[in-house]
Amino acid sequence: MYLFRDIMSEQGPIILRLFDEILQREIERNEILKDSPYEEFAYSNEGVMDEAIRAFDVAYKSEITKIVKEQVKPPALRKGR
Amino acid sequence: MAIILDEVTFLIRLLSDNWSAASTTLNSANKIHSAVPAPKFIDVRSLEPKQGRRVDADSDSAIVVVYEDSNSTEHPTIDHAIRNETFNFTIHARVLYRRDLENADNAATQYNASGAPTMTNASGAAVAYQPVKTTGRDRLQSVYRIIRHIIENNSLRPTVTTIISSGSNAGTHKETAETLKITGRSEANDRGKKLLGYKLSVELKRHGRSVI
Repeated sequence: MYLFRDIMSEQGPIILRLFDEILQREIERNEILKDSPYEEFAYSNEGVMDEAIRAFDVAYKSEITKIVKEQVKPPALRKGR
Repeated sequence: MAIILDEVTFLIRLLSDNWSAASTTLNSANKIHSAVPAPKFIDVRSLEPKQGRRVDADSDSAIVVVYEDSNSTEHPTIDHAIRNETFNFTIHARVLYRRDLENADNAATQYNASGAPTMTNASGAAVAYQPVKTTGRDRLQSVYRIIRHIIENNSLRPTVTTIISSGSNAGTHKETAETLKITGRSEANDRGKKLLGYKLSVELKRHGRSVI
């Protein structure tokens, strides 16, 4: 458990960067729509944030799974066991 | 020269080419409220700045935005001679629903002239929640069902055909994939802008393509 906690604190910046990338992507997509004839269908700022959180929720799960698979070995494979 | 579609365009063409038939089929089968004309399909990468133009939100009250989320590629043979690709897309249907909010009595029980409820549940009690202003919601539901119908009916070997009648490109051009499926749906509403939306996750696979 401690091992997992330590790994996660190391990965914190990666997770935050992931959210930042997703938020940037959502903002860019919304800005393009805002600047088009379909402006009516663009999201408000709060809507963009909600969208980013929703997308992050999905991406976060797969990122965590990847980190765990890469860095946390099953007990039987750990040294000395 | 062949007509080559990128993956987002492939998906948009598949939806737009099949929209009218799917809409009519579902309407005839009483699966949607009314036949919905094809909404505007948007690839955000190719949207032009508005330059003063603006769509009439009343006549064009739904859009479908398609974008690619991710792609993974693998070469399953030892000589790397063939390629398997998986593409993940989001199909985001957005509908304006401001008209749904006009009636404050949106969830009232409806009664006929003699005071009896016009709708009852299985136990005979009046239906207490029967929304009466649902234009936006109905439209979104119809748009979703049409998209689902098109994808489900093209889940195996989806094909987009382009026929060019004259010129050096004259002929029939076909673009294909192996499988196409919806992997999930989530609500994506924006109360601030009075927008209703559904986001559909879609997976497209191309298998065994030669690496030329």
